[in-house]
Amino acid sequence: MKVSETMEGTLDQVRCGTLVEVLGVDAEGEIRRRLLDMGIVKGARIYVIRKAPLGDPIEVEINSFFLTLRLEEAKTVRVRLLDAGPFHRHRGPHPNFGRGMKHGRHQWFRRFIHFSDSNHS
Amino acid sequence: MTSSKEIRVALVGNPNSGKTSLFNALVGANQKVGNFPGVTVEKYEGYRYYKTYRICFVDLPGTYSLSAYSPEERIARNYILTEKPDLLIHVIDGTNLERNLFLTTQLMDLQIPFILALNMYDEVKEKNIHINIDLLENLLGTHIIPTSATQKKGIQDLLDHIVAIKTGAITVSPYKLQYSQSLNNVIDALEKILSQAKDFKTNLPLRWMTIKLLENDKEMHNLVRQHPLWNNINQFLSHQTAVFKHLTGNDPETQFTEERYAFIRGALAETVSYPTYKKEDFTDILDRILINRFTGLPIFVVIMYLIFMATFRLGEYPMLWIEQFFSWISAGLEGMLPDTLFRSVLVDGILAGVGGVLVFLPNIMILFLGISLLEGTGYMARAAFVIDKLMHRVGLHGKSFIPMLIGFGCSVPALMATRTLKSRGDRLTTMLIIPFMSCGAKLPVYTLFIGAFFPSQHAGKVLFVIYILGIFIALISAKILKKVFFKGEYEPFVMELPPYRWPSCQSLFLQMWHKIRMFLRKAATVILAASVIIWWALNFPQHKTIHQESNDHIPSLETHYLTSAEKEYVPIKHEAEKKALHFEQTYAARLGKTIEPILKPLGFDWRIGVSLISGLAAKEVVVSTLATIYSVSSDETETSRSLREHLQNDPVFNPAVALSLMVFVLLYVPCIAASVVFHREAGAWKWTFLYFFYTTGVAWLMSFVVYNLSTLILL
Repeated sequence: MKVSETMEGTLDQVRCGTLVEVLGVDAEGEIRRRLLDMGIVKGARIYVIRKAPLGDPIEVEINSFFLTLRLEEAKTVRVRLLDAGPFHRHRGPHPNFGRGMKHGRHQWFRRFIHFSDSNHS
Repeated sequence: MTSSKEIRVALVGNPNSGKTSLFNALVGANQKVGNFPGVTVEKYEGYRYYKTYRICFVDLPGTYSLSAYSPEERIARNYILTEKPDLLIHVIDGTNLERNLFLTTQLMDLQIPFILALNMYDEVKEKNIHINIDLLENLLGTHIIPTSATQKKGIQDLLDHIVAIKTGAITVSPYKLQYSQSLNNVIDALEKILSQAKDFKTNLPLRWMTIKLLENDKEMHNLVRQHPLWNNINQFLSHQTAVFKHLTGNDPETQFTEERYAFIRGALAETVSYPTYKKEDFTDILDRILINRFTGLPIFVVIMYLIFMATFRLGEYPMLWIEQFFSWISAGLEGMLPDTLFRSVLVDGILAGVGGVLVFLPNIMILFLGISLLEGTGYMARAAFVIDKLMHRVGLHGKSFIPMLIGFGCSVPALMATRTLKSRGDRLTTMLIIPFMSCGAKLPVYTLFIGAFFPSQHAGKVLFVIYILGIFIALISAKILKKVFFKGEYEPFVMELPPYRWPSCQSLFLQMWHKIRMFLRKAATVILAASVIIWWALNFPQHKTIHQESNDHIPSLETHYLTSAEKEYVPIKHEAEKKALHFEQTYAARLGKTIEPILKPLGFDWRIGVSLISGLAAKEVVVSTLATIYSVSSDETETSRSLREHLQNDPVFNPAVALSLMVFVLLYVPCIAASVVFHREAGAWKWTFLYFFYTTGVAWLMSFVVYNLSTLILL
């Protein structure tokens, strides 16, 4: 189930260049504590920036800092989609998520990735 | 002892908040590094005189919160609670207030005096972030001092505040964080239970204890568990948690975190205004190049290559100078002193040992300069980001990569480099597999045996297979060790990618200096002692009778059977044979003979056993010991060629034995220097024993397999 279809899902499914809002954290123990410490709490906004070259850890922006987490950890974060994706131009005042713009502008090649994605699924 | 003229101050803050830079700016070079008791977390202490006061600073490990999961957090909070410093300076990164203030809310729960150093204030201004400091001070109930550690601004102000608080000119009492009604009720109820218990005594702040109990804090639960009151409390906790979940849908731990962040957001909304349009900064641009999907890996490879090459290629020159310096001294001493036991002890034992220790210094210096640079600039976290998937496959952390890579050069700096790993399980696993990365000193052994037993067109392939085998064994071992010994002990990969910054020269060199000092102080003496012991085993007992016997015996043979051309060669050969005969009587040789039955299945005889034992001093010594045993002249240009011929002519050796031996040298316990550093870094005999038996056990097993397989195939 893709996040873009249902508007709700887990953080590991979110495509790069998307803004999401946290609904909750399902992890347990230390991982849960870490995620909470980093500010991943209900209502926090996360902007997914990129995947690592090998595809696994992802880099996100939250509370104006960059965070990396593995997909298995991202899977425990329930999110809701706020921003439709790489082509949505993010204008105007947005205190913590002003970076949305750049991916629309520079990462033109995502167009192709996007295509191949939808073909496979 | 706290005299009236001494102020004890502890620095606490997030990693990457510039806490260490601020510490360096505060104390300069008046600092020393040690370990917190029982753990390998570094403790930096320093002092400074200011207005007739001696202010002692402790740089506590960087933490994001005060939970009890990581050793850093436990140390920070135990230090604050038990050592009770006069004042806490809470360093926060002004460009990242939301997350930094999260720790502040936890300090507010503790109800202890702290002041805030609003660090990186220069960047705050640069980014057009406006912070209403007065209002934020009022909201938190403490003093906020804007500082910039790299530009050394605000230091004076900070020191003035410290002294003013000590003298009582100003007071700080941070506000108690007010939680929602439902949480407050639970906290009050539990606090009541604790305070009414007559025989319950603790130095900890009760309110903080109750909050931690509600947050399901392991350490706090263990503390209260010993008390007769535990049943009451446990019942209360499970009941309240259930009720709480029913009412709010959250467990208390989440609720606390959410309310803390809510408080922070509220406070920041009132006090901080961000620029309406945030323009792309340096970090955004650099990240797009350095860690993007296509160039990320190539750039990573290039940077790792540079670090490796700098450490070992650049380090080669000063290493050579050190070696030359020591050989110059020993040559000088040999010329000055008569050939006595004393000279032998001094030159071959002590001097060689000291040289053997100092020779590591260039590598350690360059490597740690590189690592501090990577960590200071912020690339280290990115490197882990890029390579983590690969490392995670075998159960390791992305940060394990650099120590493992350095292991190909030398295990000593590699083992020291594992300090970048935070979790104990990750760190020990990495340390245990580093020996399998074939270090530079093993290369001469491979060259000798490959040269002697394999045709030159296969030489490269054999060498390649040896290296790959090492990596393969390392990765499998990581997986096994992780499963068996460190189940569940890993650092969650939830890591900040700090903005790129240029570290100050001062902190780079201070870090390097700390590493060198640590190596010299903690490892050097033991390495020295160990190399003297090995030297002793290889040279003693010194039987005069052997000399006598051989003197009588050999010349007669020579005069009878050798041609005149060969006779000219006799003195050298004679000398070497005497040495070989003497060598057979040494303790090392006896030990070699004792362990021969164990080595027999691998195709080794006692002579190989001895050279393997002597290889503990340093792996390349295996070659020179073999040279001694085969009574090859110690003339260096001759050694490799003639030793090669000797080995080829010896019936014990064949390609199968050579392979088996190379595999054994690759895998068995590393040299004394590395083992000592391992013990120091691991901190417990248990791990050192595991290290010793695991590596040697694997070596034996693999050699056994290789020997028998290759005997079947090759012969």
